[in-house]
Amino acid sequence: MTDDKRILVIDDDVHMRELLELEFTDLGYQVTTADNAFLGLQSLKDEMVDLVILDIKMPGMNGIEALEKIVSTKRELPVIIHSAYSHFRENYLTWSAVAYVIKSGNLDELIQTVKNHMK
Amino acid sequence: MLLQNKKVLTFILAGGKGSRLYPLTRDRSKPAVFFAARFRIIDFVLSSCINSGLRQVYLLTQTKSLSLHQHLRKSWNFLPNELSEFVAPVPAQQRISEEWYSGTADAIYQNLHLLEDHRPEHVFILSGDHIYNMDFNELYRQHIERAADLTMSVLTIKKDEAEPFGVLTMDEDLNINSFIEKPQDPSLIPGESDECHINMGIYLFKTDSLVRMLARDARKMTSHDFGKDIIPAMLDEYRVNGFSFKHSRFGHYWRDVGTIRSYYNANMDFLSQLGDRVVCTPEWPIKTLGAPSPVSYFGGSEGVSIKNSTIDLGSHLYNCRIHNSLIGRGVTVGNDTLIEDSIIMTNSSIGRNCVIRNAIFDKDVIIPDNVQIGCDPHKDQSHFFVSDGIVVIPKDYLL
Repeated sequence: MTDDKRILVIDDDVHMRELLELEFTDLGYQVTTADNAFLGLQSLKDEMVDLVILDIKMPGMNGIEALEKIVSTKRELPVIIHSAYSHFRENYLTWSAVAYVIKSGNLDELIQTVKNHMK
Repeated sequence: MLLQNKKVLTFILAGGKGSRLYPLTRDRSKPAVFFAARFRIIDFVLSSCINSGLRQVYLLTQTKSLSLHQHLRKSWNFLPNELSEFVAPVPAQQRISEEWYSGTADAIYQNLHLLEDHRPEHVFILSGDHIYNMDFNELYRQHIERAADLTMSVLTIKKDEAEPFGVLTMDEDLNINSFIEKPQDPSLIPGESDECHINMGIYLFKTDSLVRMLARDARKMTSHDFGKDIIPAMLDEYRVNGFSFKHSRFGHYWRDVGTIRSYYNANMDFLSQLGDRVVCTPEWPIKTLGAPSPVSYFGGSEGVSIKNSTIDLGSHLYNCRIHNSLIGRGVTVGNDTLIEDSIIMTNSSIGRNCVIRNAIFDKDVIIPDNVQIGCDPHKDQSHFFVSDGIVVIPKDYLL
């Protein structure tokens, strides 16, 4: 059952947000989106979320800073980093994410990773 | 091998409250408490760092940190920034959230950005609370040779003294196979009838292993403590080794100064070690504040009797007796006064015809003529702070 599971997508790319919302809604998840990290953090305060898909390169607060704030307030909430860049994988500040998935046209890896970490 | 040329970063955990050292910690954190009426506790670990070649040192501070920050600014700002060498205090900044450091591991986790900035291969994490000398090159050498993820310094003590510490067991190959923080029944060293191995709060981590453990721990509801959480969780997955402090270069001297009694004993012990010339040697100096004071003055027609004691610079002593005591900088002692088995810190003034026994004076204490301290337990209790038979006079006390 995935109907009661909610995913928060934080990504400044509107096409990526729409793609992920469509895909995960089809899979039965509820999806909330935010186009920047500030709005994403506000969403976490306002509603219950079971997993976060987080972009890194965003204007204003980037995903690395957002990840630190999420872990400090919602320790057990799984965060998956979803970035077009692989080199952030080496950045120690990303290591508290449960997974790091490189963006691609094929969402299979991301979907499988979400399923693995969705309680 | 000198650590100066290695990619090693050092963190010193210097936020200890030292509640059981009250009133010496009334206005300062534990690492800033005076020791031997000359040094601050922090000077020992910092001196070992510098003497070993560790020249990139962050001190993580938290409560009552002004005194420590001032001491660091006055005494430990000599390393050249141009060579990327520094001793730098890092106050708890609430950089990530509104929480202070919730444990020793959380203190490092909240400063992961410093690891990202420096990208060291290995990280020393040291306690700022203890009195000891150590050549960290010895521990580093073992850590590299054995390709350990964590090497921690291990002290051998009697079982009946081990309960306040983290107690561990170690096999012949130095692999640590159990670790329990403050156990009621400490595990013995195999083959020994009454000795245990304890954690000294001296760690060297491979950086990747440290960050993985901190990141994992940050996501759990734990106490975020190295002793309670990180080390026990590493034992099954990582190579965790012990380093025998007893067999190291300065392995004869390590003191925890957690209580007034242990603090007092450590000071007196230090005094006897000084006499034996095994601490503060020219080849392993203990650096501290080098204030521009004149040499001490010993005046009066009958002279000053000094036995088994130290007198720091700038003191003025007149016709008095100083026995088994540590006298700090700028202290004045009047005629016919006896100071015995005591620690008198910086800038205190003691009048004429006084008797001071078994006492600790913090800095800037003023005692008038004809006062007796440490001579009558009942009288002491009604006038002063007394802990375990030792009278402690707090800073700025004016009798």
